[in-house]
Amino acid sequence: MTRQVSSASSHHGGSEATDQKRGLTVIAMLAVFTLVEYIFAVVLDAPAALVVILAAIAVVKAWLIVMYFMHLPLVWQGEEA
Amino acid sequence: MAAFTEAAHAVAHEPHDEVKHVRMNRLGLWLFFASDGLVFALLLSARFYMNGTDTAPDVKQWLGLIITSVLLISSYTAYRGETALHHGNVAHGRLMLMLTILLGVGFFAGVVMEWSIAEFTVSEGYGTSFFSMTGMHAAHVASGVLLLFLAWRKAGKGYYDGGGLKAYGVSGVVMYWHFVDVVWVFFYPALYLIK
Amino acid sequence: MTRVVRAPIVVGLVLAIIGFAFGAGVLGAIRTARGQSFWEIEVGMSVGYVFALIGWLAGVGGWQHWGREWFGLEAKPYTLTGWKRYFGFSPDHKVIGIQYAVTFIVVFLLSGLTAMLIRVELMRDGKQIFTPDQYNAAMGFHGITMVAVAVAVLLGGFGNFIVPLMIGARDMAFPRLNALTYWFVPPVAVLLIIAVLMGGWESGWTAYPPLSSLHTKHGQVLFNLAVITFGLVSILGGINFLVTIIYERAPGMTWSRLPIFVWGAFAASLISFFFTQALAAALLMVLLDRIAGTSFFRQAEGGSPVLYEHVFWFYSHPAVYVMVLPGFGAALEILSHLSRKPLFAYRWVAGAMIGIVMLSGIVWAHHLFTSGMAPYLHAPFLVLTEMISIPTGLIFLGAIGTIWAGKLWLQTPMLFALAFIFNFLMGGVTGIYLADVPTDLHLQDTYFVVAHFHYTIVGGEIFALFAAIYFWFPKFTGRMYNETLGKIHFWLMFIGFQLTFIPMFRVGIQGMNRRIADYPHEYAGYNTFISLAAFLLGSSFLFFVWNMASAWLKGRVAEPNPWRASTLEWQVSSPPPEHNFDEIPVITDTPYGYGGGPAHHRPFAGGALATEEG
Ligand code: HEM
Ligand SMILES: [Cu+2]
Repeated sequence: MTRQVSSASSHHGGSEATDQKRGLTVIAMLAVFTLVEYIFAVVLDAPAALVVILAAIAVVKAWLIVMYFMHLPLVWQGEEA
Repeated sequence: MAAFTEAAHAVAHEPHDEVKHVRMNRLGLWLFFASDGLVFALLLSARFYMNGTDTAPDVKQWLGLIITSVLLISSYTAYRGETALHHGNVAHGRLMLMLTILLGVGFFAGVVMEWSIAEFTVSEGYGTSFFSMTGMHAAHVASGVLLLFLAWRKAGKGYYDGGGLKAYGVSGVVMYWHFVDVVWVFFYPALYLIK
Repeated sequence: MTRVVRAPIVVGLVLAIIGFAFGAGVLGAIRTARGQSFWEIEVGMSVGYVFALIGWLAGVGGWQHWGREWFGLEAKPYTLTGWKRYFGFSPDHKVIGIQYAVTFIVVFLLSGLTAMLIRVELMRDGKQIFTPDQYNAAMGFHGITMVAVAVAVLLGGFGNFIVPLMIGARDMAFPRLNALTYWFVPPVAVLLIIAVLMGGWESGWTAYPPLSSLHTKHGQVLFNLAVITFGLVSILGGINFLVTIIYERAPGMTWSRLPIFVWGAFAASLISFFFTQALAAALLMVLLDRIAGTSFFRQAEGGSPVLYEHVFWFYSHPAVYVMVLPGFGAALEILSHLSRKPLFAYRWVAGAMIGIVMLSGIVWAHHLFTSGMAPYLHAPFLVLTEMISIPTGLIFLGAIGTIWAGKLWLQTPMLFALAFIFNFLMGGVTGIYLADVPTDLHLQDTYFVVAHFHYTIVGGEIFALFAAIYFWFPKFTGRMYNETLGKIHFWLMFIGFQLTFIPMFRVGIQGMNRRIADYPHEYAGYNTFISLAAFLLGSSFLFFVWNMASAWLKGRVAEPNPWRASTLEWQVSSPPPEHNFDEIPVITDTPYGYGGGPAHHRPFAGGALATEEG
């Protein structure tokens, strides 16, 4: 019985150090996106466009969390034994 | 679907297989997220249905940014804690879980503060959305803090020693915590930023 | 004495009372500190109830057998045996199945009795036994309890008992969650009964604001709490079925070999886990408007009652398929076994069930044609609604094709399954008039709607339920029911049902409104007839209860496989042994291998089972 351990690197596949580094990358991206969100909200004066932009950023942020923090792919890839 | 079928076949010979157990738990938890997530999605839609894209002018931007950052950072500490425990690094894992708990309490306190200084009431259109959405979310935060605390305690008693699948309990709790954060990723712009 | 005191239900009750006192007390203290009165009934009941529910679940076994683990303690072993298991926290899917089935059948009979009272009131124009207020209470109670029964009895009772057996599993995926889920049910029933005793509520089973969200009767709060709790049952149960069916199938039990009842349970679970929370959310909004002062449904503040209708029907239309999909599954299962023919167009039927799931989520606004929602929504929702008849039609063809040229074995379950086909056809066809905007504008809120949904739910699901009860009774109890009594029940119920509901279409077209305690004299003739027919319908259940009670106590001992059926649950003893199978079976063929070779041996390679032959 072979279990796929994917290289999609969305979950704890490597050593502790690499896993922790990935977390740092993800949180850095999330921080940047949050800042961008905030700046857009402050400077942009077009409500309709703002809603679209914020929605898009929120989707990207959610996707990052879901894929890398919550390890969604493990649902179909299976656990590493 | 084919993938499910094969996997289920492979493990059916050993009904109490630990791997299968964790897989089932994981799927069940995700189904729960989908289900619970829809409640938040409905509240979010109600907000747009009722108020269009208006924001109350007097919502505290600085407070919003602070609590959002606090929750985001707590997601990172949660990840760190989970990863450490997964690799059998209990001491570091516990430290990170405790940090997460403290940040969670901080977020909660921020919401309480927001509630007490808000210049709109619950019976206004915007207030209805604001208070119900943040209230529902804060209730999830509170239960998440409780669960994190229980995981922290069990980690101290050696339940997750050895990591790997044994530490799945922590993963479940931490996933719940991230879920709460994902909700906030959508709520924050909807409640604070749009105008 | 101490044994009685330690009985799970007693512990649960005590902790529930303590929980209520705690919740209401803390709330009262906070209120007092803020200069408000200590006790405010609606807030107090809501907060107290949350803690009472926690206490109840913990006391009834959730703490002993599960919660302790969360705190790093050992869970206690299960010590109850025999009949006592049914009154405690049991992880065994067979015990839980019987718990659901019996509970909901009792509620069904109680609710049916209420319906009889309603028909007494409507027998003539003018006032008979109820004040309009009491009429509302009776109608609301009847409506919501029947909806709850319809949502949960087949899935909760038969799904739990039969699905793991059918797929060759030892239990559900999450046995303890399953047990906990069941124990949410008694509080729901208790709340609704207390609500009625407090004078009921005005807004029927749909709880439309503003009637429900203004400060009407306090029973409304209990109604909302009850239905939100019930939503949890549906969601958690749904998740459990999905994971079970995905992961617990025996080797060789591929998706294309699943018995059709399992497909029905799977499809219904998809709906209940993904839509039920809309109902909970809608009722939570009503509750918040009442107790927290929000303005979801207050027009002046930007809220809107139509918002409620959207959220409510976003669940409640799919909910009708939570009711009827397991019904389809059970009926088709029985039609196939008792026609001695493979299920016709199996793949199309299973696909159609999934198709229904997908379509059911995008048709809800057909309940809002007269609500004042934006008119441009009428056409799309009309068309989408009509599209549901495509998968539904496929399922129909599957049923017809199965009995076509079959060797029908007309025992009681088969009669009920055949009646299901007829009734559901009536329900589906009349749905078309309601889905068409021009006709619906006239028919909305009349007895035509009442007749339509009784044909679908009672004629469809409840007839399938009785088919399932008679069919699986020997498996549940190890005893055989009395065939003659069963047939009497069937014919009384079938005839009574037609005579009750066909005239309702007629008075509906003539304009008689639903949800009214009195009506113009012109409708009296029809209504008298309807009431008498309804009493005939009601009387059929006397035979049912008598049959069930006597058979369970002293009926003939049933063989393991009285129907010579080929699915897995019939290959083990009746009732099945503790862990279902001595050895997990290996499946090598479809579940409906009739017509070639000895049918009841087909699914198994080498007969690896405990009990082989009936
Ligand atoms: C063939 C498919 C069906 C169609 C086209 C259809 C259409 C409709 C429509 C348009 C209404 C709204 C009528 C109105 O209020 O003016 C309605 C009401 C209703 N239908 Fe159906 N329906 C179908 C099948 C079902 C099924 C399968 C069930 C249940 C198992 C069901 C249960 C109900 C209920 C409970 C109501 C009344 C809700 C209320 O106002 O209290 N229907 N149907
Ligand atoms: Cu509908």
